[in-house]
Amino acid sequence: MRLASAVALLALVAGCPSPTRCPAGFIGEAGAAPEAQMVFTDGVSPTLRPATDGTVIPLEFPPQGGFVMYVGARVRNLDACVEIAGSLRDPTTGNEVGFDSRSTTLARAADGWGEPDARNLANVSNVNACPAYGPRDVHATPYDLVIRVSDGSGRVATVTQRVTPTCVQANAAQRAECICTCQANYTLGRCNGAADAGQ
Amino acid sequence: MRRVVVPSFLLGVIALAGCPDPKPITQLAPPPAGQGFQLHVEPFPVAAGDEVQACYFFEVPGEPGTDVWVSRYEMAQAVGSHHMNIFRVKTIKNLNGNPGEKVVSYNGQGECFVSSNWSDWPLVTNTQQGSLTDWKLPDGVGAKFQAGEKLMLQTHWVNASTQKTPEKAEVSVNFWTMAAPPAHELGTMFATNQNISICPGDVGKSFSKTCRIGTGNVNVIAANGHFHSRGTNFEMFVVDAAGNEVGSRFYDSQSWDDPPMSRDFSVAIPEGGGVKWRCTFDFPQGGCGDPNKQCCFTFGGVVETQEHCNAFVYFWPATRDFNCF
Repeated sequence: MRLASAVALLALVAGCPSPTRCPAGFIGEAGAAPEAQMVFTDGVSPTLRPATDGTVIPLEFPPQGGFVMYVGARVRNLDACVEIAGSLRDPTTGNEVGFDSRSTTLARAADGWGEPDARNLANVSNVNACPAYGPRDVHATPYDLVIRVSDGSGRVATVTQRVTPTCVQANAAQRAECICTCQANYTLGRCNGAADAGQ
Repeated sequence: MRRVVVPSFLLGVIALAGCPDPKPITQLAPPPAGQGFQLHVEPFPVAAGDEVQACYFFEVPGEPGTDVWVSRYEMAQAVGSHHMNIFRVKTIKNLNGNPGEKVVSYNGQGECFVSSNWSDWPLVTNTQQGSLTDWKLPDGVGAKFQAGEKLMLQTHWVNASTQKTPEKAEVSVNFWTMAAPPAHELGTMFATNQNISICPGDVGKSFSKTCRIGTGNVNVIAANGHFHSRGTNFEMFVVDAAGNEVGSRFYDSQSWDDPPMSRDFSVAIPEGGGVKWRCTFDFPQGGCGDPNKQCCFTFGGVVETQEHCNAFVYFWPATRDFNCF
């Protein structure tokens, strides 16, 4: 016990990452700068697709209600145990419209990058874009999306893209519900309450 | 009524003597006529192994359409209550009742467990504590109702391994009214993060979200958080319009089964800002939540096998009521 403590203390003093911090290990090169590529999914397929400037990102009806974007990042040069934070910002003011952060363990892709396991949507950021309580529409309107991925050692990778959150539901009634909920200055009951609630 | 005053030094002596806690207050007399009204859930048993969630419908008394202002909530519950929430009834989906009627659901099944039924119903008040929660709103602040407005009181009881209901379930809530309208209206925020998953081996698993309270400067005056037994820490912070945390957290609870209703404080939210809430969970290897979900705990109202991450926040002035997801 004393030996283990001494080794841990020595490792700490030497600036080594804790060997127990992330059982899933490190992705990439420890000395290299963290990198990130923004990705999203439609909430149905676990396939992660790249998000770049101009990308239309679907607004989906999630378990928690409202409408969200399922977004994240492929990263390298970080621990596999990370926190993924998604922030949707009004580009005209810089104000944050939606924010969701969650801890997860990244999976290693074939190309050596780490990516969230989108088979479980709890592993990606559920950015709560709607209800749109603010003064600006969300549906079909450009916003800045910031994804920040950080690990327990303080490494951070951030990527920002100007994306267009959009209601893309095939069902007309569901799409109308989404558009209504994502119009500016939402008030409870405005859209007949198709959104979900907790408890 | 004669008032009995116990000197403070005597209370100290009683405390030092290790006397047992006073008997929980589980029943309330209603306010006198003209000073308020009471919502009351009659006592009912909760069978061993059961989780019961019951939705009771009430109507705000008075001349229909007239404003009713409330300055104080007294909420009393028997031991074993998991939560009690009151909502204003808005869009009706699959859960409804006339005033005086109830919908009772058991073990995760039934419409009183289906959260989409009250998705746009604004929060009125809540408590998760047994015995009495006596909440007086600050001077000049009141909750506004209209006589004839329909309310739903939801009460959840557990008599299983994580919580016990040794005696009958019972809830009383007194709404104490104001003689004249106050300067400011109370607003509420009910926020829930449902896309959560806590799996065997997860330590320090956290989920954070932000809810915008929006226009104008508002003051948070009460809050409480809600999760189940895997929850280790529930925190709330004020954020500014840009999403930056402002000041220190204003709510911090490690209690899952009896979380405090923090009140009698005031925290300012700047223009365009809001509230961030964060839930942290631990679940050791070897246990199992839902066998159909790789033994993970995902969102749901069943205390034994599911988890929650819900925030209840009260503020003034009311810009509007908020439900955030």
